[in-house]
Amino acid sequence: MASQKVSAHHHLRHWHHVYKKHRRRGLAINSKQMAVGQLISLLGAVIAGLTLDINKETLAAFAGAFVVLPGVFDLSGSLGASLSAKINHRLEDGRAHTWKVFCSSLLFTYGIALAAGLIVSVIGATIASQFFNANFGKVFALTELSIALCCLIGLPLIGGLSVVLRKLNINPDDVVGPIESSITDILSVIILSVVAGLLS
Amino acid sequence: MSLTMYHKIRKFLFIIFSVGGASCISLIGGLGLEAVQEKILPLVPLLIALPGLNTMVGDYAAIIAAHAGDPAERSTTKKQLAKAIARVIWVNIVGILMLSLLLAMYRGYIFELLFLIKFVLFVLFSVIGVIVAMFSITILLDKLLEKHHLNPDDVLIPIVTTVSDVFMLGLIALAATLLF
Repeated sequence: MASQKVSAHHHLRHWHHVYKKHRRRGLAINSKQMAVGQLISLLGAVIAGLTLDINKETLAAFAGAFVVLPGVFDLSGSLGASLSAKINHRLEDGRAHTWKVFCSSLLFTYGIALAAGLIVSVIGATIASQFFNANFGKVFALTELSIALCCLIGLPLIGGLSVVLRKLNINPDDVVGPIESSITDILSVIILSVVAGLLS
Repeated sequence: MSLTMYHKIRKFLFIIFSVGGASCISLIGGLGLEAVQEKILPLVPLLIALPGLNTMVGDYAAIIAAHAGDPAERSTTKKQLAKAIARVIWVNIVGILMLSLLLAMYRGYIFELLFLIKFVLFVLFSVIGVIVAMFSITILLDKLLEKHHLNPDDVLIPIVTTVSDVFMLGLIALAATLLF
């Protein structure tokens, strides 16, 4: 039965982590783990919301800050989730060296963060300057610095958490997502507010 | 340059442009926020709930996307996931409502019963609607990525989290303008 499944999907042989020989030994979906993760995420997100309310004047005074806010949230958060999934799936190979997987995945994600951050910064600054008469250079600097700092601080924490959860036999795919988005949300709001205040 | 190096660079560039591009789409939500900031900033419960709502739908989108990838187990996984999410989502909705309202009161915000009803209904319907949309989008994108021999871990999660962000921010901007 297993070999039939493999031959039916032979065109997927490049996906070494799903292919039968090195088959993905995914951990089961666990509602309780998901619920715990969601509670943590909820608390983190509400703290981020409170921080946003406290700093709303600083952000409102910086033209274009609210344009780039979702971009910073999104890029930092999704890179964290991608890093966690990458580490988790690479560690499913029993022969993988944990430290090497952690470092190489982290460096790869940093590279994507800086390069993709440039794209978000340019587009965000263009939208802000065209529609809201914001200063292109300032909005660009705000976005790129915020993304870089969020990833610099947040990604090692998230990567480390994935490794630890994996060692404890908890499926990071269900739990790290909420926790990392909490971390990145709070970091994003604080860093964005600080950088906006410095650049104003 | 060797062919392998060329393919690696090409793949890296594809990831950068797709991840960066997907995050740029979320700037549409930011455009809406900036446009209605004068209306949304005084609505303290909505402002406090904003990251929570965004994060919640993004989390579920990431969980749904992270469980994609194995074609042999796709339909079973999706059913199990839908049941698991249906059990857990009420924790989020009730938690976000209670915490945002309590913290808003702590920050000195005074609200009426009508606002409370609108706020509760908005949170409930927007969250459920966006998550149902995410399931559908993930199924479609997963099949598309499989067709192009691409690893979903690199591309699917950023795309679906971005789309969920745009949907939720758009709904929040519309609610700030039309509902509250």
